[in-house]
Amino acid sequence: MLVDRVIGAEGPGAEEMSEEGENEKRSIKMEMEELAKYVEVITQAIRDMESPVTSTSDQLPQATLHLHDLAKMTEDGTHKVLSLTEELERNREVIQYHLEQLRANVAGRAAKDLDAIVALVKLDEVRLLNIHVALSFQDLVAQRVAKLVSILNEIQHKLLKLVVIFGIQQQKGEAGSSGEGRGYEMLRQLESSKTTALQQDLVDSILSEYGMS
Amino acid sequence: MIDTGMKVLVVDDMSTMRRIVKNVLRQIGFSDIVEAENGQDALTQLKAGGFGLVVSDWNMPVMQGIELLRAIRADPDLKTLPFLMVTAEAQKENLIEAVQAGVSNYVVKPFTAEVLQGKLEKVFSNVQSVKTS
Repeated sequence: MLVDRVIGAEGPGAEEMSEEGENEKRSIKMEMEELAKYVEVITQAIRDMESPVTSTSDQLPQATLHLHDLAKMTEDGTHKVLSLTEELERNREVIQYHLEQLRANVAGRAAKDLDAIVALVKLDEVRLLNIHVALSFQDLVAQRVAKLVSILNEIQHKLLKLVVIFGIQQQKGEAGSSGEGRGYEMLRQLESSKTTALQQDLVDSILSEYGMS
Repeated sequence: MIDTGMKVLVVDDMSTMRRIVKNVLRQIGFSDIVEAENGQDALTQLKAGGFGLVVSDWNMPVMQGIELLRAIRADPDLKTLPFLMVTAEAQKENLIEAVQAGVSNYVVKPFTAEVLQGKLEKVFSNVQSVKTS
């Protein structure tokens, strides 16, 4: 063993070593053996981690692609619903126009009925518009997906770095202590937006402090 | 009362959002609506002239909405152009930054058609009161 060779090597004058010196030599030998065991354990731990780290970094681009697909799917789906809603609105406008034409030519009970129908058809204008606006959720989804993709890209970059240089403990320390990088910042933004995002009434309240309403 | 005859520029990198905002504007009565995908594209179109209102997102590639706002306010020909920010950036810091940059009003996503219409009415009533004062 290397430790034995280093500590046990008998140099010139070794036979003259005192008992105190022998004890110190034994103590150093024990400490070096402990250190060697520790290095072996760490090396094994690094070897054990290499495989999952490598496979995880290989899977991340695929996960990123899935997220891109997700954003595209919501975008396509939203356009489809928008198109259908626009068609409904065009039909509604035609129906309202014809009902109003009809209304001009009738009187009495029929006129009252037509007024009631026109009022209902007009209500649908607002409902259809609200469907449109509700679809703005897609933009929010796409923005969050874009941030997640950036986070995954950064994680992949860091994992590959770990595999290459085997500096796992050092890397952990750096990432945890400094909290730097775009991925960390975006993760922080995503987390904080859960609790600090403003609602419209608060926006209005702040705007009024600036003399705006 | 909003002058719906004016030309409006809708700026957003998401095609769905441009379409949604355009539909709401059409429902209000606007018919001359032009689109831009980012701040840079918007600025190029604005410099050609003829616009009466900008409705812009914040988060966009190439040039963000806040940079577009600053560029508009720094341009002698465009500086009085009403600018409505419609954005998912719902942090207080964002709002204050936009106010300090000269935003005319601010709408957070998701919004309703009523909120957008109400904000537009306020933008133009403010423009009117500035003109008369």
